[in-house]
Amino acid sequence: MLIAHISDTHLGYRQYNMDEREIDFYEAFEEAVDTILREHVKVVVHTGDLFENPRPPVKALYVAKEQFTKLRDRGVKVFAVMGDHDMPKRRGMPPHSLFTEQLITLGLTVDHEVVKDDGLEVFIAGLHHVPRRYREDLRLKLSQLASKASNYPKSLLALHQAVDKFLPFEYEVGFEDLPSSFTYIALGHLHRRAQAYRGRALVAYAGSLEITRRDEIEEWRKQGKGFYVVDLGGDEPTIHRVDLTSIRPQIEAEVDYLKLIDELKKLQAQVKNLPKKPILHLYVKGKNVDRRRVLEAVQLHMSQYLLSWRPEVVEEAEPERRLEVKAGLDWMELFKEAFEGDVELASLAYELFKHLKTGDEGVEEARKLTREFYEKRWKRASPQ
Amino acid sequence: MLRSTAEEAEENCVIGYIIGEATPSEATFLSIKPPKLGQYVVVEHEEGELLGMVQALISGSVSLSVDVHDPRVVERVRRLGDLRDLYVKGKVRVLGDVETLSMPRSPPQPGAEVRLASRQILTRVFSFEGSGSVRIGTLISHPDVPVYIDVNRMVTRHLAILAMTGAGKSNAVAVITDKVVRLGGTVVIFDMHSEYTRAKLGGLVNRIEATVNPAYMTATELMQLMRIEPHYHVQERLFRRAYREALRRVTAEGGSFVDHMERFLESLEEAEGLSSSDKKAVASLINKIEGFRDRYEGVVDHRADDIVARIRLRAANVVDLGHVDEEAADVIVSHTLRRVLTERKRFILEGRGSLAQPVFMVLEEAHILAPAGRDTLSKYWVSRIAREGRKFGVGLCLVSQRPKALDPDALSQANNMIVLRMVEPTDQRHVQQASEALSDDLLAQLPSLNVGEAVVLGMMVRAPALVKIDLYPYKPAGGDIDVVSEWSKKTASLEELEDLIEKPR
Repeated sequence: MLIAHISDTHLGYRQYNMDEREIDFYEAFEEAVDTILREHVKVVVHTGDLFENPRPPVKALYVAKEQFTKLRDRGVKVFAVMGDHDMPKRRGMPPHSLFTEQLITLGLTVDHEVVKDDGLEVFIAGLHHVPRRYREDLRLKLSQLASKASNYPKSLLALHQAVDKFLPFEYEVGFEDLPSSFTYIALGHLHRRAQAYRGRALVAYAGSLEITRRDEIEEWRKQGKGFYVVDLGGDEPTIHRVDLTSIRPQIEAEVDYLKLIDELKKLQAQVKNLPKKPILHLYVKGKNVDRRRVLEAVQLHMSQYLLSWRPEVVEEAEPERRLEVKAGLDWMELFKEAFEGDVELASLAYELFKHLKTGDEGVEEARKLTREFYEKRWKRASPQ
Repeated sequence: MLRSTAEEAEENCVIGYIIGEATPSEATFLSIKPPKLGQYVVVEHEEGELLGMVQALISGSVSLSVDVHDPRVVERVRRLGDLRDLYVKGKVRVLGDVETLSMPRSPPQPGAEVRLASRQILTRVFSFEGSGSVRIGTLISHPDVPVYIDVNRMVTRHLAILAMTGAGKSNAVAVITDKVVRLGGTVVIFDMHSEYTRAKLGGLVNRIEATVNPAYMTATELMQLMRIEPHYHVQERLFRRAYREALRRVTAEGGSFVDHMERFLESLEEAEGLSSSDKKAVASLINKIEGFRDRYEGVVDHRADDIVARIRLRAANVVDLGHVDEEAADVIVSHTLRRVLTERKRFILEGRGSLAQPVFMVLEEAHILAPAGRDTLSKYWVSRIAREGRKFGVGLCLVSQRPKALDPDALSQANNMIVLRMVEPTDQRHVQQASEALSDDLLAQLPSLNVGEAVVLGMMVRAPALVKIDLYPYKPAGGDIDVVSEWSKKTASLEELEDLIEKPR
């Protein structure tokens, strides 16, 4: 039996407060649903954060209704659990209540259901997001579900939690808390894809559909983003990754301020023919970077190919200059070299060095020397 | 208060007579109506009446002496029901004459009457309400007689509060601090367990963060903390140079004192013309600074104000040491003790400085800060203040549940004592050695005290007293945690969460 594991769709999220970004998230979801229908999947499990918040915009609700209805009409059974973004913060009805005809929200109406297909019975259980302070109760609940699951040949558990193995600093449950008697444990919350075995149970985060934060770009570039199609038919569950193509590309680029125009032109070639106008995260490296010049240059050469761009200036520190020590350590020679043959300046530097290295006592003398040098060299030359 | 004449009569009635040989300070009496241990009595005397305290009671029977070896004899006597030959003898410790509490020149005569001390007499002795005295509790034997202590003498002659855990130390500290602050006094409490930060103590609690700024430390203090031993004279010389330089830079440009020191040493390390032994010393100094940083992370803060500047006058200043370890606590306490003493000296001798008022400093867990047989940074300053504090208006209060682990020198400088329940014999002995006023008989009382009951001794009271310390109304957090009820409390339940989710119909 093929099951689609999809998660963290965050419908209604408007990155950078842009209409386009809100729509991107809808399009990604639509593409995922269309792919699911093409792949002959029988069951869809959504592991939370369907919406960005518990009171989503009507557009988000509308898209959800449209897509879930499409799945139901084609005979696909949909299960969902609520994530931390979906859950009401004060007493209230979660948005999932609107879709009781299209999907079964585990942990809202029931906590488990048995699905039959080709004579194979699959026990599907799930629970909404549970904050860390309820961990004891959650463990108890999971063990109850596990004992029910053990009566079925195949079973799936859907949760929306941070597991310590994958999110060691902000976890809500331990990896050991996950019951190993399930065949597949579908997780939501983590936005990157991740898998591990807990006993014979395959534990997997499907990741988010779109890129919600800058730190997800690298992972998307390497591994793609999308959902999983899980086959529970064999002895062991197998995961087939489905990457989406409608994801808005995001590019991180570091350019040298000194070669700004050249590098922008190179970037231009890279972004020109993408299916969707990308978002560019530009890091300009250099000394004394003129932000206005950067803005103007990007405006001129790039902006027509971009949806949005976010510049960041990385000020470079003065580079270290190393002087080669040839025969022995002759300070005077080194100073001469450093000041490119200016003997007057080199001998001042040498005198200052000699006085200052002794500590406090030399400071007065050094001041005097500097004053004299200044008088001699610049005061004299300046017009009176 | 209206008192019945019957009560009055009872107080004045004769309870026994002096018998046998007596000394001016102790006498034996034969009792008609046995008093209770620790009760105050008045003994007839030619120089005027003497006030005494019942210190021991023995009862016996002539016919049932220890020489009886046949239980049937006892049975027969019991059956006769005649216990007329039963007697009660007691020992009175003479505290002085009733008027002035000065010791008599002659012993009481045999046959002298022993009466219970009246409320008036006791009130006169223990309740000297005046501008410089505060109430700490009531006499155990006379709950209607309040006991006052002389604050001047408590601060100048120091105080030790000793007891086993759970006997009421924190409460005693809270009561005294509260009263002293209400008098307008300044108290600094080194709070090892974050017990007092939430108490109201005289209404003015000033919580002081447990941080010190190395810029306010002396070179010697820093050397100790950085573990630069004085016999490394090369290191010491270079350290002192770095110290001076850092001090100059901190005043000139601000920033972290320790960073400045380190940067200066690093620049030395790179400079030429340094002898090889100096180079080595610089390298090991840099290492020591690194070690210092690690060890005292969180305690050393270059943004912290001078600790003395953070002390508020006429308030209870609570230095919160709850979250720092013992070594760091030692650093903070010793630094504070030193700064307070030097600032007070400056004020007294030169008339300037910020501590314009005497300070009473309470050291919790004094056996950790000033232990016997081991040197700590604080120990030196505890003994300095114990010796010199009197002249500069710096008082110490040592609080400990393990008197035997407390430095005996420091303890013996504490002229005043509040000793609560104490069972351990070596602890008792240790306290007795430190205080001449604690007699064997009083010592014998210690295990039988209840929570909150104490023997109060020293110059701050006119006579040793068995006192029930008042209960501080806003309990500091020192009380025990009710473990069983904590365990039986249910942890957060999923039901709370389910209640948030309104179900669709």
